[in-house]
Amino acid sequence: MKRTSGKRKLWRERFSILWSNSLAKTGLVVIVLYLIVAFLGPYFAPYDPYQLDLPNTLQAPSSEHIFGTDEFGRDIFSRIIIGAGISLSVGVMTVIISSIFGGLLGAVAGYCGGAADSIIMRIIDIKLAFPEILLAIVIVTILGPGLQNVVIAVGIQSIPMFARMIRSSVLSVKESDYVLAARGLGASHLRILFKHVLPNCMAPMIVLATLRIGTAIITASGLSFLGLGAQPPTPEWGAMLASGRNYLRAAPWVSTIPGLAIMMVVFGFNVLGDGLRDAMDPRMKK
Amino acid sequence: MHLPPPEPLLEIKGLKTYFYMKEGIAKAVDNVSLEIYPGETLGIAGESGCGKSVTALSIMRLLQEPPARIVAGEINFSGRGDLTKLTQAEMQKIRGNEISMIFQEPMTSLNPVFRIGRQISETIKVHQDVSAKEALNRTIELLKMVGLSAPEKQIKDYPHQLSGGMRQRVMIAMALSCNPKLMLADEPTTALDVTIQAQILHLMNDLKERIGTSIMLITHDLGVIAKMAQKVCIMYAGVVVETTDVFTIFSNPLHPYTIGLLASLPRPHNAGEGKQRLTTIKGIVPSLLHLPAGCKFSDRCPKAFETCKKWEPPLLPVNGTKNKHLVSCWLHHTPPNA
Amino acid sequence: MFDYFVRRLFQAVPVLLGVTIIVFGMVHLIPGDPAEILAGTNASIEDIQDIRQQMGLDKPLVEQYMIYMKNIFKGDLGTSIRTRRPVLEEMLPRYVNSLQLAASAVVIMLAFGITTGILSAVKQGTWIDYTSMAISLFGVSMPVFWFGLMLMLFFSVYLGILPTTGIGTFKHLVLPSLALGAHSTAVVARLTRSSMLEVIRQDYIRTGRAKGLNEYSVILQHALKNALIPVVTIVFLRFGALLGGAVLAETVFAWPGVGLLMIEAIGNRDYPVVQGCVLMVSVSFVLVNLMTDLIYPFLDPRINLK
Repeated sequence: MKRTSGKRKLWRERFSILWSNSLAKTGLVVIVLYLIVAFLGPYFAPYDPYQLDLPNTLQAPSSEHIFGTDEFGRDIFSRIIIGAGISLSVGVMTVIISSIFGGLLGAVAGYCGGAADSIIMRIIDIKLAFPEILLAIVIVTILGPGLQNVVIAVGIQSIPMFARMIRSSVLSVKESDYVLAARGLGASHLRILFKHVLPNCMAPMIVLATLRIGTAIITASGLSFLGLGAQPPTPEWGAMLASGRNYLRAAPWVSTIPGLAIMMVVFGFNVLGDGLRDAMDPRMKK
Repeated sequence: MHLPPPEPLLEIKGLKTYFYMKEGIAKAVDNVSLEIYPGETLGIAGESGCGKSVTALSIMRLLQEPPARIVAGEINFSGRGDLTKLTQAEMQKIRGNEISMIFQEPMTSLNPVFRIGRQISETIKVHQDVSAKEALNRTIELLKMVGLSAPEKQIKDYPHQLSGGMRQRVMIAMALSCNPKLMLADEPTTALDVTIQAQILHLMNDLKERIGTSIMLITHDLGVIAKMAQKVCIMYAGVVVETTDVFTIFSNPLHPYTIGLLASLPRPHNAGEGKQRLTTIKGIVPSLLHLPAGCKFSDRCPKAFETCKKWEPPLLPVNGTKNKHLVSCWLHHTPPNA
Repeated sequence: MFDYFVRRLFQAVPVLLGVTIIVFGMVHLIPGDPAEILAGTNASIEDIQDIRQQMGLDKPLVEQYMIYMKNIFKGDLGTSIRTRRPVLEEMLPRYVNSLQLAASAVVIMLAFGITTGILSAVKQGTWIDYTSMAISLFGVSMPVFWFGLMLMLFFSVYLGILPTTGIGTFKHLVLPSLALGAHSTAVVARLTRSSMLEVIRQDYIRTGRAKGLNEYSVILQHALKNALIPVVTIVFLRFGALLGGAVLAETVFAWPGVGLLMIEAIGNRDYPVVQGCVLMVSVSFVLVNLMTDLIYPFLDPRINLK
């Protein structure tokens, strides 16, 4: 009884620290807006994002087209809206992949120790030997272009971070008294892992996941920019930016606006992630 | 024929240092007056939070100006006037030079990425116009003086390579490098092992004789006071409650807090005496944000009466002691409306 | 001290081996017949057979790997399908260009990032602090390729004072370096700030002031030397990452570096070149990381070299 109320108090404390952080609140607002646009936007988009309108290409932002039109006359505003959903799903799925696989690897490495630990850590070191974009590009080269493969490639990117974090959490908890006590009472390894070890990692996991969604969105849009990710006519923000390159002088909005969208969203996740980290960390960083 | 009384080296009059915080104003030092004469050790004793460290930091003007502020008072240092009125640039000439300070934690008080030789020479070079070679020689000399066994080699050491006791010796060497007139020592031995404590205190006394520095020794340990000090100030909740020479404070304490402090010292019992409980002072030290009205000790004092809770007693000499024993207590002075 | 170095070197070896295995395996993971892939789309059946024999693609994988490794040590990273020149020859000049770009980005990181961080820390809570941290937050959230395009838009298209793409003069270097360095500069600024804030609170800073040192010495010598320890590490690591991670910046500015070469090669299905680039970049990255570990004891004397 007492234990749960203690935990609840901790989370309430963390929440109040987060709430008093106005920067984090801004991030939260941005993300909520983003989610609303991603989920509900498509119903309210003024135009069909795939609808070509050749007489009206490269129109500047106006009352008819809030963000103007692109080189095919498509309404940029509508494409941005759909793109929100795309980037959100890419970001979330990527982090899900990273956290699950990374978490599993880290848990096994930390819990089993010994040979399994060394091998897994070596593999992670090898993965870390490739600078970020590079490995993603290699994977997409092998698997072929497309958003699906981008998700896999970028998902693999963040696995080491999650793995290391879970591993160190596991290591620190593994030898603690209550785990030994649980073992003495006959609890199985799996039960110990889920009931005792994982709850400890919850807080840093949430922080890492939030921050990595932002990174994932940027990396994925980078790959699309290079032509390796979303294929035309998909209105992915990075791809939209790429297509606007050729018209930079004549129609700068085609490239500027998607980039602004990316920046705002990533900013939101970064700021929220920072705020969460400050809230979870008992030492107040000022 | 009487010699004219010596001038005090340092004279604090009515010092008030407050901390302005979100929760309110913490009156860390609230009307403190004391004097230190050349060549003497003044012990400042009291529990944590009584304002002794803040007093020392006020002298050195090392407090962060918000949130702290010296609200009132004078700190007169011989030859330099009122320290509270000096600029930071002028204080920089005095710190480490005429007044130096050593701190409680030798572990963290030395810069971990600089060799100790450099940290000492630096002090010398800042204040004295000497060549690097001369500073180096002086550094080696100082390290020898504080008892390091192989100074020529040890100047190249980093702090983490030395033990706690050795690090404190280095701090002392650094503090004495420019022959200061006054050394402030804030709990210099509290973080050290008991055996090392004795060595360091012995060293400090020794060096004091050699160099002629006065020492303001801040500690909560009355045993250290007994060993080292000639005069003692007892502080409580930001004020000096009693001050006199070291013999009198132990033989004839007048303030109820002092009496309580001395009574709470564990005493070895003689054969035949039963085991005794340690005496304590009832209650706890008040928060500096919410001090009681009147005498700050009134809510814990066994002898408190009406006046104590209303008026704060001034620090005045007790009759018949030739101004040598001052107490801040209504038991020993007449209150304003009798 | 020596043991530490040797041990780190040994630790790097399996990682490097792993890298070569992955690079080698790349071609074989791509769906299709490796010989066909390497011969190119315009190859005849005889060409394909030739390639198969030359590269030993009919031999077992392990043997092929051995041949590959042997070739690497001889300096033979394969031949470009498109230009028929040795991959190494194609890559080296481009690698030098990438180095130049990465180095300039590091200069920007150091000059702007560290100074901003110090200023923010010393003036904590003032508008200087809030502004620079706000800018850093945006800097960390901006995509490189977008920022590059915006810089190009402003300085080349509107102001016309800097060239849009290409290489050759100092003016050509400015925008790509800024674009590439922006993210890292922001990271460095934030890290320097938090590191300085922590260091300034330490007891030894108070001791420094108590010795009579003026504030400049205290901050710029005593505090900085401690605060920069994690920062220098990050700068080194970022340098390594920028070497191979500059693909996006190179693409935007048509900077002829290794990253751009790789993208072009992918487009041309010139897989030997892709392999060569990935190999070169990863190995550089591992070596830079190794160097970072090796200089760390010199930065922080407290490190216990066990």
